Amino acid sequence: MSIVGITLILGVFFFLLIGVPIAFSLGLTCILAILVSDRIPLMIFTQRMFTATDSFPLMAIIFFVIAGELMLQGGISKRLVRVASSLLGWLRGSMAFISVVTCAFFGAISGSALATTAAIGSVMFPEMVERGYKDDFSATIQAAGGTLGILIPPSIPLVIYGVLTGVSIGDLFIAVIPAGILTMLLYMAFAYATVVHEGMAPKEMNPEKIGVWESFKDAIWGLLTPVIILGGIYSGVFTPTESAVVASIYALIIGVFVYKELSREKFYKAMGNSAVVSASIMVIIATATLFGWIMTNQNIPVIVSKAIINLTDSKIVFLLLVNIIYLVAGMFMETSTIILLLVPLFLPVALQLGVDSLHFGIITILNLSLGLVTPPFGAALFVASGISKVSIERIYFRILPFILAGIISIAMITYMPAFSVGFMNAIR
Amino acid sequence: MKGLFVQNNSSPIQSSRVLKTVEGVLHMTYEKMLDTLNKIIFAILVVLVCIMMAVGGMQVFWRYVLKNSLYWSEEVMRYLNIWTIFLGISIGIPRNIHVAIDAIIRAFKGRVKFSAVMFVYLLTLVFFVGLFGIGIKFTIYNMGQLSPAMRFPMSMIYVSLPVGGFLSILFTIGEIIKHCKSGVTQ
Repeated sequence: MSIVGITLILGVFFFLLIGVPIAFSLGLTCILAILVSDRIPLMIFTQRMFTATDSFPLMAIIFFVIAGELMLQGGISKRLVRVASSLLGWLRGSMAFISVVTCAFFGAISGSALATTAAIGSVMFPEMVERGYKDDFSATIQAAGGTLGILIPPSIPLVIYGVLTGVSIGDLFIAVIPAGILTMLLYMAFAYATVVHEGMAPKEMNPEKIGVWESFKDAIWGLLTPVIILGGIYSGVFTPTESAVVASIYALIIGVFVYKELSREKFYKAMGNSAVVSASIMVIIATATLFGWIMTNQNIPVIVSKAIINLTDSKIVFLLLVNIIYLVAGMFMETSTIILLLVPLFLPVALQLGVDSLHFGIITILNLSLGLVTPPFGAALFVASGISKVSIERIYFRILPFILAGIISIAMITYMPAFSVGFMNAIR
Repeated sequence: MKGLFVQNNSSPIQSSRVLKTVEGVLHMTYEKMLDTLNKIIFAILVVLVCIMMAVGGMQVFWRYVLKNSLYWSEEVMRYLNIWTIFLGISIGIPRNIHVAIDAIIRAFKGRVKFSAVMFVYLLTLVFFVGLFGIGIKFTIYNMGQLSPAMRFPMSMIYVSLPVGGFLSILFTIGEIIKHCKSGVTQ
């Protein structure tokens, strides 16, 4: 490998590990690599960052963030909790189920896992503790449930995957649904086992006795969001970005005129916060794209692909290898960075071995969603620790059964394409 | 002996007090300035995002209801988004929104931790100086270029990179000052 390639790899590891924010680590490494190289002009730095951000499809991100934020400020969280309670309140361990299912509902509005953990966790965590659940378990389930935010469409990482690979974002949104539902059910099963095994909240019942119909009527406007998004894309009426625009305008109308909770101050805060959040995602995309460009310039993807092909030409072994690498990478890095850096390395091999690029996208997202809750650096764990004030070490211990659940789900989705590609073909 | 001790120390104490007040005033005004800047940028972002949403709504309405596509809407949205991104980066810094792996740094204690955090801020500063410097060169180099649909000067968009870089330098310096203060009080 060339000196530039070595600079790239050593540089990025050094900056990341000493704690420079991911976006700036990648950017700094690129500046170093450009300075070391005598062939790459310095202006590539800004030019690539600019072209990466100058993308209409990627604008779906900011609008999905706005839609989620407006729904949140408009008071959707507690309405979703009420629906889930009315459906599941009569079950043993119901609060744990309600947390997971509400996260899935919220995931259908928001495209971000961390936003889901924060939004639902801050409502559900105090409720669970009050009803006799252990605090570390209550915090952990918010982190696990939050990963459903990117497994139920819309999903910001899937937008990035789609833009990067040219796979239809609409197809990805449909094909990810079985993975989301499967993971949700597995999380619920493992949560139930824990609750029963440790005898938590033995005499729990639905205290408010809310009618299913009543709570549905109230939350239906929020729950319709994915119908608008997917319906719009699938009927061919909207592009994904346009459907995100419509979803955000819809969220505004619901918040102001139906729920009547979206005041001017809340609107102002929601819009500004969305801009800052989307900027923090887009700057990672910008520097990671630049990083990817220099990698390609140095022929690194070809070298890596050849190395993998030399290692194995079995589809099953390759997918297992990919799962392991994603899992390890997910422990350390943030979702969109991994997509932008690793997918260009793996996808050519995947295609060569006969893996569908749509299926590969779903495998990628599912692996990375688990990466969000794997110690030591799983970001959702830190969010859960932040909202609950439960120490991160206790959450590390509690998350283990959920990681097992996630691994089962990954194995099923990886080796049974029927759950993703098959489902999409059946729907269309 | 006692008198001597006091005498010896009185003047440096006084001068350091004066220095500290001068420093305090400087920091105060700098921090206040950043605070105001933060609010102004936030307000600009709100306006940009609202326009983006309105133009997006218009695009959908014109294309699917009036059956008459707007030729400029996508371009306007993309360029507003770029400004949003590079302005948004800067006020994300005091909000601590840029994701980092901080487990190693948090394991450190005392002086080592102080220096390590400082080192990270300085490296961040290097990145933004790069964005600012190369961004200016980039903007000047592409001066005469016009946008494809609206024939709008592209330098107005390119300049968002150095502007964002410059504002981020200011906010990173703000964080460094905060960090030094917290280090002093520790």
